[in-house]
Amino acid sequence: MKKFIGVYDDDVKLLKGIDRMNEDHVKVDDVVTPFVIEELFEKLHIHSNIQFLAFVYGVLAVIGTLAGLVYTFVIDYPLNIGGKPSFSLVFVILLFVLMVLTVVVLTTLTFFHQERLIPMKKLPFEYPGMHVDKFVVVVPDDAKDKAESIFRETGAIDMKEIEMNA
Amino acid sequence: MERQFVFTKKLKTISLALIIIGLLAGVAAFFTDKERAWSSLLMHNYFFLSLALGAAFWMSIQYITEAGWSAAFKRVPESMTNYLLYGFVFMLIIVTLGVKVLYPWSDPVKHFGEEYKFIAHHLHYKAPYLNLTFFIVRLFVYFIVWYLTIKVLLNLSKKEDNDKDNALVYFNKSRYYSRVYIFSFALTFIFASMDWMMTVAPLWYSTIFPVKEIISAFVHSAAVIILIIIYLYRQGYFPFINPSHWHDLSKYIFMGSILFGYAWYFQYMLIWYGNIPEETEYYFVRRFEFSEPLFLSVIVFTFVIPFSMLLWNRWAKNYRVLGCAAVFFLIGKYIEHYLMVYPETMKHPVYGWIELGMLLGFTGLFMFAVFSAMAKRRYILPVNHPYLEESLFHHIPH
Repeated sequence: MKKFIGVYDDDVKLLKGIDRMNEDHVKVDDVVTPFVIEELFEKLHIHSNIQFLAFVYGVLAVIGTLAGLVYTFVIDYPLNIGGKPSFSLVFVILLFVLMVLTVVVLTTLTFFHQERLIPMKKLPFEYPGMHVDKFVVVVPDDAKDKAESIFRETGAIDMKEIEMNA
Repeated sequence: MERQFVFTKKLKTISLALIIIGLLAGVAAFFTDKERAWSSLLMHNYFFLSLALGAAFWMSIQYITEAGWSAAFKRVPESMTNYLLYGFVFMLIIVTLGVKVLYPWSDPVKHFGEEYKFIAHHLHYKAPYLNLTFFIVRLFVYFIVWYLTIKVLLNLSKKEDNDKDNALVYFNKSRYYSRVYIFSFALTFIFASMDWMMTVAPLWYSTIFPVKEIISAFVHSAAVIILIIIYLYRQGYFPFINPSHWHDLSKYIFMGSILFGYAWYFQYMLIWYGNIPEETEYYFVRRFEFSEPLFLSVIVFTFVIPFSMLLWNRWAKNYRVLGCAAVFFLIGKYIEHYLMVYPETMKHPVYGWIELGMLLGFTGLFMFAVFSAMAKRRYILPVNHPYLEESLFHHIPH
C-alpha cells in the first residue's frame, strides 16, 4: 500500500502541520514521534477505551480471584490456622496482588490486539531517525497534493512516497 | 488579577455565630458531662490542628516538587496555617486541665483501680516518657518548632509580594525552608500524634499509628483546601480555573483515599494477624463493643466512595463531584477521629448537642482564622510567584 510521509524535526512545527491538515480535511493516518505528545490525542481525535477495559478487567479479576480463593481456602480444603476464620482478612492482599497482575497482563494483551502487534512483526515503514529525533506524519497517497503544500508551508524537512509493509 | 480577598460581613457573621454556638455548647457541656466535653474538645481540636499542619505540608510539597499548576492557590494553605495558634491555646488547656480525665496514665489509680500495678504494669516502664512535666514540655517543643518553621515560610511569601525583583530569591529560599518544615514536621508530628491521640489508650501501642496520622493530616487538609478553593471560585476570586486544575486537585483526594485506605487496612490487618491480646484489645473494643457500623463506615467513607467517584475522568474534572468526594472523605476522617477518643472515655457511642455544637464552633473558629488571615494579605493571588503564569494557563491535554 502506498502512503505519503512528511518529516519534521520539531514538535511545534508538527502540531502546526496537524492543525493545517485538520483545516483542509486531510485525513492523517498515523504520526510517529520519538516521545509522547499529548496534544496529538486531542487534535487527531484519538479516543482510547483501554482505561475503561482495564477497569472492567479489574472488576472481573476481583470476582474471579475471590471465587478462586473461597473455593480453595474455604470450601475445598479449609485449614485450621490458629483458630482463625477460613474466610479471612488476608484475602484482601491476595486480591489486590492478583488483581494487579491480571489487569496488567490483560491490558497488555488488549493493547497488542488493538495495535495488531505480534512478536517479530516488521515495522510498517522505516525512516532514518524516526525513533530518535524526527516526527513523521503519514497521510494517504491520494491526498498527496494538498499534503505536500501543507508540509512545505509548515517547515517539513523531508517528504516522500513510501511503500507500507502489509 | 491583583485583587484582595474581602472578608464579607455575611461570612463574618456566620463564623461568629458558629463560634458563639460552639462556646455555649462547650460551656454547657462542662457543666453536664465533663468526660464527654473533654473528649469532644480533644477530638475536634486535634482534627482542626492537623488540618493547619497538613496545609503547610501541602504547600511545602508544592515547593519542593516545583509544581507550577498550584502556584495560584498558595494563599489557601497559607491562611489555613493561621489556626495553629488557636490550636495551641486549646491544646494547652487540654493538657493542663483535662489531662486527668482524658489520659489514664496520668491518674492510674482512678482509671485502673488500686491494683493498677498488676493490671497495667507497662505504665511503670513508660513512666520516664509519659509523665505530666515532660508531656507539657513536649507540647511547647512541638508548637515552637511548628510556629517557627511555618513563620519563616509565611514571611518569605510576604516579602515576595512586595519585592518583584527578588521573587526568585525568595522562591529558592522557600524551597529550602520547605524541606526544613517537612523534616521537622515529620519528626515532631510522630510524637505529637502519639502523645495526644495514642496515649488515650496507654496500654495499647502501634508503630504504624503516627504514619497513618501524618498521611491523614496531609490528605484531609488537601480535602479542605479543595473545598475552600471551590468556595473562592464560586465567589469569583479564581476566574482562570479550568477542568485541568480540578483534575489535578482531584488527584490529591484520589491518591489520598488509596493511601489512607491502605494505612487503615495495614494497621488493622497486622494487629488482627499478630493476634497479641494487648494490641487486639484496641480494635476489639472499637469494632465489637463500641460500634461495628461506625468502625466499618470509616473505610467506606475514606476509600470506597471517593475512590469510585473520582475514578471517572469526567467526574474528576467536575468541581461539584470533587467537592462531594472531599466532603465524604472528611466525614470518614471525622468518624475515625471520633473512634480514636470516644471508645476509651465514653464506652458507648454518643453523639449529641455537645459534639455537634463543638463541631460547629470549631468550624466557625477555623473559618474565622482562615479568612481573616486571607483578608490581611494584599493580593489573593501570589502576584510575584515565578510559577504564577504557568498556573494561570495550566492545561492537561485530554
